[in-house]
Amino acid sequence: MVQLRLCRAGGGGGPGEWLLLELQGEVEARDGAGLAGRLLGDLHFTRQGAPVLLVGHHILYGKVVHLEKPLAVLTKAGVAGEAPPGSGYYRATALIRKKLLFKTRPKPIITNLPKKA
Amino acid sequence: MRSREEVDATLHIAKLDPAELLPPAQCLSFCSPEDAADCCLLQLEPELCAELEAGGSLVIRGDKEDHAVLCSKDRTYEMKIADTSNMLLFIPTCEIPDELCADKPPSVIHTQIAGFSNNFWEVRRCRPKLKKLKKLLMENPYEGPDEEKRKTLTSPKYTTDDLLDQIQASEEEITHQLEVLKACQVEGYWRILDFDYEMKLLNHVTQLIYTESWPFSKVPLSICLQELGPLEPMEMIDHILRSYGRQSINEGETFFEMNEEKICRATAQMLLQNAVKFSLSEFQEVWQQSVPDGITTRLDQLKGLALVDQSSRPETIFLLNVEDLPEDSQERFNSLFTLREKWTEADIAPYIQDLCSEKQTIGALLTKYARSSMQNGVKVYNSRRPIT
Repeated sequence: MVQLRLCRAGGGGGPGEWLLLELQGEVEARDGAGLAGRLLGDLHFTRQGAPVLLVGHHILYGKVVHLEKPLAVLTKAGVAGEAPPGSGYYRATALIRKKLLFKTRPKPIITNLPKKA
Repeated sequence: MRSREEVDATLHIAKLDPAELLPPAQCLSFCSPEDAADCCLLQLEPELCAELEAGGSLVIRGDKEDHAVLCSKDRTYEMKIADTSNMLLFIPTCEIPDELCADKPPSVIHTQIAGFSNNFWEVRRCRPKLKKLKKLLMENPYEGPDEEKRKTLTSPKYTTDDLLDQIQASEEEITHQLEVLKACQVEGYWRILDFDYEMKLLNHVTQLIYTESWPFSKVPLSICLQELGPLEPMEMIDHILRSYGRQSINEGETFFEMNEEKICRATAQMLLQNAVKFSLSEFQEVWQQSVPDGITTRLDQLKGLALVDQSSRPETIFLLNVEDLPEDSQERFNSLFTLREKWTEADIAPYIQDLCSEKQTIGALLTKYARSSMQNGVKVYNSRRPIT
């Protein structure tokens, strides 16, 4: 049987605290070239504390949600070949307790309204 | 790098008033491929999160064909992947309003997105899968030192670590089940005693109690070892006292209070295992004669071990050990309803008790897997679907 051990990341303060950003649908690069290294958009917060995300020509309004069940971000440790097969372990790099949820449809930004002649 | 001017220009086009927003803006970008971590998300129950944070470790166990389970020190959880059509991005250094100051000049924070996913692992507390434990240990029961010498090196034996590697359960749940199975460690390996050998040992002890006229509540360990040592290994005598009694220490000496119910059960099992069915009245007579003097047998001692058939004439009793039934709930009910079409709650309860979880009672299980009706004024349960 396979047994995989799961430990928290080492170091003083234990695992870090990360944030989750949940978007409705999926983000794709315009030319299909992949997302690595690309800019997603600008994140603002209103003075009332609600997140606002500007992605391309869209505005997204969201809210901060406290997660009742936290999420652990797991990375597989033990490089292939280093550990015997069937063993291995996961490291909980970080814990996530809060997320920014954008569940409404993105609102388009309209720059120049065509004027009726 | 994006500048504050570019951010402001975008805000202007979007017709958002910067005065309405907290001054720092965060520019989110995906990290470069070489920095991207190969991550997955695991949703934790609060108690698992606490254990992990305290520095404890969790273990994922399973074979290729199994559903994986996640075990803490004392609990087992089933793991299931949850897909979502939403995109989940994880951001290591994102700041939220309580960390952002309202009275600073506008600024830009460049924030990296470490990765994204559209699924996460969910866990749900489940019953440990312990049936395999008995199966493994029954491959090679311990039959006494003489038999042991005759065995080959290939007879399978399991250490605690071997069992952890074979059983989908937490360490504490395995330890508890080993106790239930009255398993003992012989030279570092967990063994179940062969039932005949176990009865032989128990018989030695009860015989000695009889000849020494000890009360069942106070059996001294030292004299047992001294008297029975020449007959059987000391560790086995000690083990049988532990399995059938409760240890107490009085003025530095160890005593055992024998558990009468366990002795009655074992005796009944011995009588029933050699017969397909037994006439109930005949059985009760032989059973009472077979237990040591001073112990009283009662049918309610046999819950989950034997079943009385009241419909036959004369009434009969037969062996039905809950340990030998399937551990999956649906399969358990199927096998019970194959055995008998209609059950009273009192009869079926001992055979489904162990399927109950924290929130699931016997009543709830019966509602889910059975249908009730009245028969001669008694409520009975039968299968919801035809048994094939």
